Amino acid sequence: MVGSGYVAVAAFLGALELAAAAWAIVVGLRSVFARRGAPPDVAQDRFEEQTYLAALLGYLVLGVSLISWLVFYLMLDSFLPQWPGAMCIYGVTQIGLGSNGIYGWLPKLVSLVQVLKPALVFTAGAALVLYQFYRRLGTRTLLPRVAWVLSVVAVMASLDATTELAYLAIPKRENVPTSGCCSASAIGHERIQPPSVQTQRQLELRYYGCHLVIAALLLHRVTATNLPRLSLELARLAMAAVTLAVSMEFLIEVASPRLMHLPYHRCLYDLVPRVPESGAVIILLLWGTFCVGWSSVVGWLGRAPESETVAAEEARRWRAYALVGYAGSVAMLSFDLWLA
Amino acid sequence: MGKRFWWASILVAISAAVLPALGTWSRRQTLPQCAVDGVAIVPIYAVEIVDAKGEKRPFCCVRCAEYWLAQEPLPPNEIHVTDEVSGRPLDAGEAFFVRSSVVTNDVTGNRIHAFENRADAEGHASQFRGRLLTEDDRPLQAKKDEATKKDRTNDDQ
Repeated sequence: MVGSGYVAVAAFLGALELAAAAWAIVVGLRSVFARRGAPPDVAQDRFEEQTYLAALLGYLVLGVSLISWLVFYLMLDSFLPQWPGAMCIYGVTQIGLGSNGIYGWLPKLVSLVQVLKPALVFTAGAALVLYQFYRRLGTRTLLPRVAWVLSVVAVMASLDATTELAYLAIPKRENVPTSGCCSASAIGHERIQPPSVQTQRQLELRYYGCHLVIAALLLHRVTATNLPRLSLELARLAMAAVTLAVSMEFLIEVASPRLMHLPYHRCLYDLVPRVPESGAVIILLLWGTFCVGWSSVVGWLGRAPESETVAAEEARRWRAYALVGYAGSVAMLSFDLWLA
Repeated sequence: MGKRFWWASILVAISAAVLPALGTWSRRQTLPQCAVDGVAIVPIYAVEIVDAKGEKRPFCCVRCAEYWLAQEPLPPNEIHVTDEVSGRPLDAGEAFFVRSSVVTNDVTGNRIHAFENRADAEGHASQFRGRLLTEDDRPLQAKKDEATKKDRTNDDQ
């Protein structure tokens, strides 16, 4: 049976997130029913009040999800001394692999939590960016859109908290993995061989190429005062997703073996504890990606006849922040690789 | 853009320059780590390979060294293992290897032990339900043979 003090902290944060999400869902439902049968002005006021409350819960969810994201990895890391053969978090994520029954769900649950946490932070951030824009503008046209995005956050938060609590509740005592290290697993031919020098060179070109393209897309129409066409916005979003995927592959396949001086060690779980500044590289990369998404959310959901110019300005501001994130991430990683 | 944006940009620029330099500086003196899995090396289980380019590669156990050799296209120049009794390094070709129930590394699950003297090897084998590895199943051997062949070819030329 594996456990640590972080399990208690993670369970508390999960319960808090679930409670906040449930409350936000109740607030959303109440705002819908409170509007029924009431005069339009009264109904609008009630709706506004409920949205304020939902936004406050949104802030709570964002704060809790950020902390619980960090605590989740600290908790996985704290399992290492208790699990024979696990050298890094990769080994802990393999607990339950090949087991029958609920123990067999553990690897799937841990993977799902790792996807849901960043998705929740992004969505909560998007809802609050839109809410701040609505507060700045003061137009009620945006209110239903803010409420809609906040309800998506509530549903995602409940899903994330439920998944994490389920992972915590299942005892981790079944099959011991054949190996708890990504490189040691390769001894048993469980993983593919390291990429060749040529493949690494191609990945390097793709990494820098993607960043150049996304920078060009972010700088395109930088001085324009109106909102861009949908096609350009979609191209930016698609490119941000591609850049994130390529950057992660580059970090795993090229940067981690070079930075750790371990040619067969291709693992993000090891990279961050051994090369702590790579954590800043990942945070800046995620910040850049999220900012591109948030600029699109403001640009499209903040669009109203009276807010066209202000929405364009706000979207431009988030694109500028995205550019800083991408530039910082590339500069830091390139300098680190040069020093390594 | 407001002041906040420019302050944030300056902070990111400084971090991009300072953090990698600080990180690299702080890692300049580290304990020896295995060239395959990066774990700290326990001196009595250490293996060292001098590769074809003359570079020394340290390993935490025989299994990691074998994995490394399997990946390398060229045979190594030298392979040294450590005598578990005295802690002295010795040529892998002269060592006695035992596969026993004692795991030297939880991560790789290595159970192969190296000894300088046959008596020590047999003692370990009888104490820990082990078996002395003969010429056919000796570890670190195939590549060593290739290295010897390479040396002979060089000598002939």
